[in-house]
Amino acid sequence: MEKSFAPPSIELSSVSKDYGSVHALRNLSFRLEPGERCALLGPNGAGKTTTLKILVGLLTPTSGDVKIGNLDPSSEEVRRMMGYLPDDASPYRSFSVRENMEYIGALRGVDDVSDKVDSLLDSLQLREYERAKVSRLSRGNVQKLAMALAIIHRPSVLLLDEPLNYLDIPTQETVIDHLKSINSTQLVSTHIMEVATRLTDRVVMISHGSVVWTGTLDDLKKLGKDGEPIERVVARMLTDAL
Amino acid sequence: MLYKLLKFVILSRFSKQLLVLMAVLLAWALFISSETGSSVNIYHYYGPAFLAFFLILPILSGGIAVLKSDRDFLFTLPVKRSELALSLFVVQLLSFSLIVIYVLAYSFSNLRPVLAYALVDFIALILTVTSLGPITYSLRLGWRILFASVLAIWMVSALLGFPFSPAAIYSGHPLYAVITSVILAVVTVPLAFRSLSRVDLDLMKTFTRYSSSEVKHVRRFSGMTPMKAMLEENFYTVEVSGRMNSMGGGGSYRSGRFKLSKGVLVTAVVAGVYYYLFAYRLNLSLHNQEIVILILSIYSVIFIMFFTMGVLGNERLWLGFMTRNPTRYLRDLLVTKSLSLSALLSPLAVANFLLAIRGDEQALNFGLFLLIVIPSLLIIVVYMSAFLYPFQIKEEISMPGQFNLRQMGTLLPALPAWFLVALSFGALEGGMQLLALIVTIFTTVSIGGTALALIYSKSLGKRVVDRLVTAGFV
Ligand SMILES: Nc1ncnc2c1ncn2[C@@H]1O[C@H](COP(=O)(O)OP(=O)(O)O)[C@@H](O)[C@H]1O
Ligand SMILES: [Mg+2]
Repeated sequence: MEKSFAPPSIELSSVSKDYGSVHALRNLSFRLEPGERCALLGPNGAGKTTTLKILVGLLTPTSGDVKIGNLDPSSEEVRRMMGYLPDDASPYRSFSVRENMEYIGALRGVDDVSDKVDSLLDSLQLREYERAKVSRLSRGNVQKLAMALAIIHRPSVLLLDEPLNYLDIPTQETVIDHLKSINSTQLVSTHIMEVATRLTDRVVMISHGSVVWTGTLDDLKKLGKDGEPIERVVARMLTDAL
Repeated sequence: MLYKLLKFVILSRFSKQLLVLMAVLLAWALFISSETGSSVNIYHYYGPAFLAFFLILPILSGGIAVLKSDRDFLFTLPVKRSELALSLFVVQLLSFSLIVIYVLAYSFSNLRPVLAYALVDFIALILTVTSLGPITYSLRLGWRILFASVLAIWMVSALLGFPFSPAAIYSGHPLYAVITSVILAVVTVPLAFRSLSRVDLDLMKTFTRYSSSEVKHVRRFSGMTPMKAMLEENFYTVEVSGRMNSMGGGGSYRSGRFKLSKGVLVTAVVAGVYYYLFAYRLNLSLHNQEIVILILSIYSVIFIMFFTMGVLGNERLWLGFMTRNPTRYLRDLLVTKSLSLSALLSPLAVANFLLAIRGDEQALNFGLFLLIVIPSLLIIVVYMSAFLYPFQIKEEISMPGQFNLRQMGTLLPALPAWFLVALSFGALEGGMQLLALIVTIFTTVSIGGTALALIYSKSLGKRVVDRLVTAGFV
């Protein structure tokens, strides 16, 4: 049966991950307090996706330690409280929008699946596509459906990989409002500063698989000279890190 | 220009190693076919049965060897339509038709007295097989099934003595066979060229038609327990995906689903007809009956491909695999799918057990094959494909990548099964009933046991999941 959990903390200590000879993560350590929203910011290939896959327990780190609350990411309890939206997420193609949501809801043991589906369909403005097959949807609507599937079980930890990709501006606003209304610890991977500022309060900046800088967005803004765009500050920090 | 285009089209679809292997196979087949040797009358059955299969394959798998990148790149090049069509036709020939030569080369020693006829017949048939994919890929499934059935029955009719069939080359009607096959080729080849020369436009149309569909009847899962939802989707619903050709995997991807109950109804009717024919109608000697059943066993393994292609390809790691422990999800998924296949085939298995009681021991073999070996092979093949050639299906219609050697490897688990079936048949032939029985039971237990061992090995399950994640599954 469905349980609700208080948002847990997330902690990585000296995590490394190799893909063959590629060192994707090197001694990566950072921590999120319970209920905190944090951005994992870094250029392409920095290791953001790898970090999230390790946090959801789909990949095992080559070395290092990962804890969600005090638990292992691959434990049953963590899996129940976890919501994960991968990069380029695609739902089951042979199902319609509603079938995807009901199926995943049922597999997750969500109570009153039908009601939850209805409320998500309305709040994410997917109602008119309820019966449409996934293959018919535009990329933006696929992304909204994927978001709905990631949060249908009211997760208390949310790991989102480039969540606003493919969404147009009004839809981005809908999704941002929705994410802010969920009481959970959230780690949002992105390479776009704007996404970080809209969704989170704090930034973990990584490059080549290691942390380059962490701090609040306000701290980050203060690092810039007068009127300097924040993107430029970030770009400078990432180049300095090389 | 044509040469360059042809080279590009071929190399973008086949890996070099695979092309080498194909050349070797072809040379070997030609060598075999020039051997004068045994003249076994097994080809009387084997020939038409395989011809039927090769004609069905491109139609049901909706196969045209078009890549996703063709739409963005190849089709936008300023090449002559006729040259494009010819190049695609050649690729089509390589991927769907060469197998006719590999498999039926053996039968040429039998066709020696009518060699000239046989050559013309085969060339016409190969051109026809090549053409069927391009002609039918944009048709609806119902039409394709009808079309495939008609052609299959036409081929098999040669078995029953009907002379006007391309397969009648095997039943002593070479002239009629050649006439019909040439007519078939003359009709199909121009249609195929027409279709291929406008494949870019048609593909878009087919694509939008397929993708603009809404589901008519929304399936409900609300109120189900996780177990019930799993069963509903993977046991009570059977998914078949045509995404194969003679290369093992590739072509465009299509899938269809039907309720298990409906499927069982169909297999029950087929089983009834099968039992009636064998027990009362065909009047085959026990020996011939056993030969036919042996061929059917060998044949039936190929069909597991239709049930395995989509199992991993359609899965979503971030969805299904996150709803419970990923290795447990993998196990639950495969167990339910495998049991579902077993249930689907059970009426046919029962019909064979009844035949076995009447004295046909090869039927016992086939019954166990259907009930246990084939469902177990589903599991083994899925594991093999995870390690050899994992691919996730993200788009219908076009093929996801090159044909290569590795994907052919996924069919390897069928070989020991085939070998053991042939061995028990050999024992029967040699009059060693007990040995045949032992081999039969050994086959069932070893293949079934392998599948169970795979499924219950946690560490292997973990490696499969890991493999899928690193292969880019999401
Ligand atoms: N399956 C894989 N096999 C080999 N290398 C990989 C694989 N996945 C990612 N990498 C490499 O690991 C590094 C980090 O990748 P990724 O985590 O996807 O970064 P990001 O999400 O920040 O763009 C990159 O250098 C990438 O090329
Ligand atoms: Mg990424």
